[in-house]
Amino acid sequence: MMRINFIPGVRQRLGWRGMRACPQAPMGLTARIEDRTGIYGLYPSTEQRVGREGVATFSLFYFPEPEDDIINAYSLAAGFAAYDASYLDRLRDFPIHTEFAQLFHIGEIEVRLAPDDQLTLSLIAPQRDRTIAVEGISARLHGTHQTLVEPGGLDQDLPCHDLAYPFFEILAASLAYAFEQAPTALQCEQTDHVKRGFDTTGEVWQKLDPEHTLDALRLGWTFSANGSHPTFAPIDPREWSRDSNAAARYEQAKWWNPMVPGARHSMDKSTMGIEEKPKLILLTGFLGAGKTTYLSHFIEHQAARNQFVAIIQNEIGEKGLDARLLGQHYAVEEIDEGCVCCTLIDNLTAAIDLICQSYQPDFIVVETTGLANPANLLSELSELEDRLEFSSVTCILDALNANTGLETYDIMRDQIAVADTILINKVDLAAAPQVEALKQTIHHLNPFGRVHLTTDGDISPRTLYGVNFEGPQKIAASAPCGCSHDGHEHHCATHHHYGISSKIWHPSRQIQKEALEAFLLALPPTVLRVKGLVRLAQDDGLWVCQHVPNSVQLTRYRGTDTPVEFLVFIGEDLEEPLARVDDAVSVRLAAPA
Amino acid sequence: MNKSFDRRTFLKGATTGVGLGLVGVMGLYSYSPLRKAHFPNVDRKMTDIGTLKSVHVTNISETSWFENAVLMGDIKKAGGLLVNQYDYNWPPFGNGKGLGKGSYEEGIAKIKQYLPHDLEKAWSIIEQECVSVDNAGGFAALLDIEELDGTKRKFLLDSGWSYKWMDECFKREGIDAMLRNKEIEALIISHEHFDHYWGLPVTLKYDPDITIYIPEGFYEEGKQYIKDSGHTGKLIEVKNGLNKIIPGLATYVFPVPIICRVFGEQSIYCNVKDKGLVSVTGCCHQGIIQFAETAYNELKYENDNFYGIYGGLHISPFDDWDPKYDDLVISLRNYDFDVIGCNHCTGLVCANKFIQAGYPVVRGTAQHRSKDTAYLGNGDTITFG
Repeated sequence: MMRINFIPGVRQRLGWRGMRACPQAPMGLTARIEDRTGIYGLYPSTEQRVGREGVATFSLFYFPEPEDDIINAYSLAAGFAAYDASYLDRLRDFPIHTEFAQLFHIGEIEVRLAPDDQLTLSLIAPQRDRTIAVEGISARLHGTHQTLVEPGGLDQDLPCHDLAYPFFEILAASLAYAFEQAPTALQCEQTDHVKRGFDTTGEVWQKLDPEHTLDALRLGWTFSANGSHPTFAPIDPREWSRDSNAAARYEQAKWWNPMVPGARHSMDKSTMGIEEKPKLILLTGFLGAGKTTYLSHFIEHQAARNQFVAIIQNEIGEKGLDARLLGQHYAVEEIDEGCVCCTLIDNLTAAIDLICQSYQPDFIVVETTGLANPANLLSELSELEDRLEFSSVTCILDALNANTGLETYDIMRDQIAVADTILINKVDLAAAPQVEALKQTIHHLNPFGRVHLTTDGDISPRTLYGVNFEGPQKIAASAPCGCSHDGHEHHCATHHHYGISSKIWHPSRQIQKEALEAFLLALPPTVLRVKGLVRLAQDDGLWVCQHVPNSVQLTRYRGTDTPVEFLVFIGEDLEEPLARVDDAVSVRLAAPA
Repeated sequence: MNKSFDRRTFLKGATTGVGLGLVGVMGLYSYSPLRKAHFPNVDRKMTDIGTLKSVHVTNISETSWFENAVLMGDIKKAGGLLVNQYDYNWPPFGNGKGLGKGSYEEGIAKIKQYLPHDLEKAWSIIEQECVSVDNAGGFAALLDIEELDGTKRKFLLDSGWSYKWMDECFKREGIDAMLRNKEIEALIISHEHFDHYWGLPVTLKYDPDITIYIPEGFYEEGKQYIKDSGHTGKLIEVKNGLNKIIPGLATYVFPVPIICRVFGEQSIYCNVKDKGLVSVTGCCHQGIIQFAETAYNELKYENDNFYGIYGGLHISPFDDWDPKYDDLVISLRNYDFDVIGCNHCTGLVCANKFIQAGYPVVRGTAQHRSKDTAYLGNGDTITFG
């Protein structure tokens, strides 16, 4: 189980959608698989030696989602449990809630290991498991009496084998993948199964169920070169009869192909890590919205899973600050001055190629400047379709400033319209009505985008992009751009159109902290962003300065080098503040005696 | 008999507003439909591992490598996480043929004669034959134990990776002298990974006779390396499960598969008098959940309290089916540690989140190439007890 989890592409294609060991019973496992909304549980049950074979059985459980129709097939007791508030918590630790778990028991998985290198994996589950309520079940609700099950009627009528089979198929396929070979034999068997009746005192009778059997589906693997074919020798006291026709039913089963479909290469040494195209995320958002902070969470999340992220960063100012802020060196390839979308399309392609060749990342995040129009970029990026997998256009908004920004800047509207995932960040700093208003505006601009609220850019990438990062939505690279300007054909407006530019200032003296804060907070909102590295007089140390309208942040610089001090101003009408800044913030020289 | 109504509608109606307890249901019986699923006993074993007075951990090095981009790039280019670590041509096993085309046999042949007495010569060869040599660092920690009667004992956890870097670190912390004077009674190797194990000759250079504990699960190359590095002392292969070493100090081997073709991780449990259980991990590949639950189920420890934790932390080897549960910050809260010293695999953003969440994280000084004070960095120390 652990080995197949190392590579997300593998576990995704095998059909797993997440699993977890039971926290208080680590031998137990819960897992979700594709196409099934419920959760499976697996727990070791018995182990014994029978002759020369070691045999272990695992109990298999299926905890359906309460909204699933299948709840009707479970016993009423199970239905009540599923609708209880503690359902999810209990199923996570089902081995310690034995009575609860037993209501969802659907079958057994048996593993046999023979000394001559034979392994048999079996699914043993009844076609249907039925229980009869001899006296019936009724309820008193809102003062009225309601019959839930007639006396002698069916309380449970569970198609166990059908429920268990999808899990078994994925498990067998995972084994085939891990062993690098398909099973060499398959056998189906049947034996008698019982139906049970109970009344309020407990179970009162068991009778042969003539209509339904207990079925076993057995797969055998042989590992030694001259090993004999698995024989599936009977090992328990039940009488099994072979079902020769059953084999045909499983011709299309996943376990016959040990190569994971979709894997580009077979299992030779150089490509055992499945070579997939790097997933491209376009990260947009206005200046200061919190893209860098979000990125640091994203990088670390991936690094913890041994996933490699390459970031292509673009800084409209002359200096690339963010690489330093991130403090990590996860292949940051900075693109030169200018906006990715307007002037350096060719460079972007080249940069991506370079990165892919040197590092073969799992993710490439193109962090565009706050002024980039992603629609413009997307059509160009469609050239890279054979080299990259487009995953998402993610837009990050500043809850504090976005509403005003949206009124003034078309580019912000365009960024939202083209995104599939939208983060409203810094919600801890904004008032609730402000956030609500923003959500409404977003919905108008983009009814299909998924909106998430965050603080500090902290959100699990899996919440945004799905377990195994397969994403809730894929974006077509050549989707029509949703720009608000009419009359354009292909290239949408660039930032020059909006009158925004950047200017850099190099301080020559130390800076007073209070004076700097006062100066920045007093700037007009046309100055969208100021950031840089300054030396503060109070400790003669280097500090990172970040400013958006209404907010100034100063944090100690963590780098070990001594870079040149600078402040980059981004916005409109920058000449005026730039003329004043030196006098306003720098330490005064001592007056001549 | 067919069900004449939709149960879901009933159940939904019954549970919203009214609450299950208020529905008077008659005739309902909770039973096991199939052969009773057998749930083996989950009683706590409460094994006594003894107690000690205190354990003082010195971080000799936690910077396993210096540039993550370089390491991940190497892994990707060589073929991914299932590739055998000995094939990379990473130091010290190089044959000059480039990334991914190495082997243990060819690599060791070039340097064996210099191990462990002339590591400088070995390293000069390694610089020629291996890839990404400067990126190698290593993980190692010194445990200073004080027993209840005042006796002081020392143990070394792991021996890092780069001969050059680890020797520098050993000298910086005085480990070389301690080893020469035989003050360190044993080297405990947490797992066969390159950044914890391949620096073995550095320890053996100063004390080739030292007792070594390795977990069950080492591959052939790993076991051979012990001999080839010039080990003359006792080798103890610890079986899966609990292994007591001295009163209050035990290791536990988790049979888990790990990336880069490694198997098995050994983690340390210390039982500190009047305080509780302290764990010291290399990487904790088995996950903090399994680690803490194992402690809970198997061991008896002071005040039934999880006192402290030191080392790299992963939550679990799996990705949960509910993304909310993948949060290490939430998971760690469940165990209520009194003192946390994290480094290395934990992740900087995560470590900072612990601090922001108000967890009792012991800060470091970010020296000697360690990156951030959120980590207990190279040269930093922490005392439990």
